[in-house]
Amino acid sequence: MGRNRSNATAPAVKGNLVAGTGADTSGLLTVGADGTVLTADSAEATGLKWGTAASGFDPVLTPEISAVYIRNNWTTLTSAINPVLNRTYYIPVFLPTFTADRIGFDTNGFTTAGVSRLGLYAANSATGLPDTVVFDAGTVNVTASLTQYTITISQSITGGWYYFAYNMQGGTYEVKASDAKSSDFANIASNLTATPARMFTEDSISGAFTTAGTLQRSTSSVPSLGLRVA
Amino acid sequence: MTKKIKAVTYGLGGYDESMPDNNIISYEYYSDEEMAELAEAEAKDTARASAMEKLSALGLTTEEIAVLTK
Repeated sequence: MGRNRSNATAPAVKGNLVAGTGADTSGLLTVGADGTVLTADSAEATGLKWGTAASGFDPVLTPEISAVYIRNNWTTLTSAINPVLNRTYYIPVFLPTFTADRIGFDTNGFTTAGVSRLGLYAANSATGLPDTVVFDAGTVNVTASLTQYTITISQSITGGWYYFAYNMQGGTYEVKASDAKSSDFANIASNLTATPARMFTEDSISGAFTTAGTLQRSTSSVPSLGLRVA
Repeated sequence: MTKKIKAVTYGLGGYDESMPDNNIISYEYYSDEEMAELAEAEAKDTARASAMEKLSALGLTTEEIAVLTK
């Protein structure tokens, strides 16, 4: 008769496994959560563990250069917009997988000081529209023309479509913008000759960013924002 | 000549009146060469704005001015 090497209790729960823990010893490995996969791990008593499956093909590149800004389109340096008070501008941008340590924008003309709020929204996977807040970086106080204003952040980004969020919540000044001929993501028009929307806007947002509400499509020039690669 | 600020960086959370310098953690200033270029660019912008005001006063529409100033 062969030698019985198992000294573990026979599994009484669906999915549980008996696994070797050393010479002539074994132990019970309880089943993992739904969707997890079994992988070898020598640090574990049984040499096995349940874990999240690695994603498959990832077409998103990771930036190799640090301290560079990833921006939405900005094709004309002198182009700028006069932001509307308390209007959130949702600006489509495709981002790679990276960690961001700054978010910012540049002013053009300047009249009176006031704050601007900056953030990032996720694009809804079903509609493509601005959806939930990824982060609200807070505000900067704009006090001059032709100046770059940035806020320190520490944010991991998973590659995909997002929306920069810009909202002037005080003051009178211009923000550097893409000229009216450039467009990125939201090329939505009623026919093939109509001017497409280049971004979405939402009015009456006077405080922190929350989940996007009633959106308007906009064919105006697009504020230029950027995220710095950590 | 007073140096013009080129970039302002805020700490985590952005503008905060309870923090020293409203939570601004660094300033970057234009170099002398950049200041000279900036002054030239601002002079051009002023001239352009003045010309556009005059065109507007003559009754030209925004679209017509855009065509002329391209």
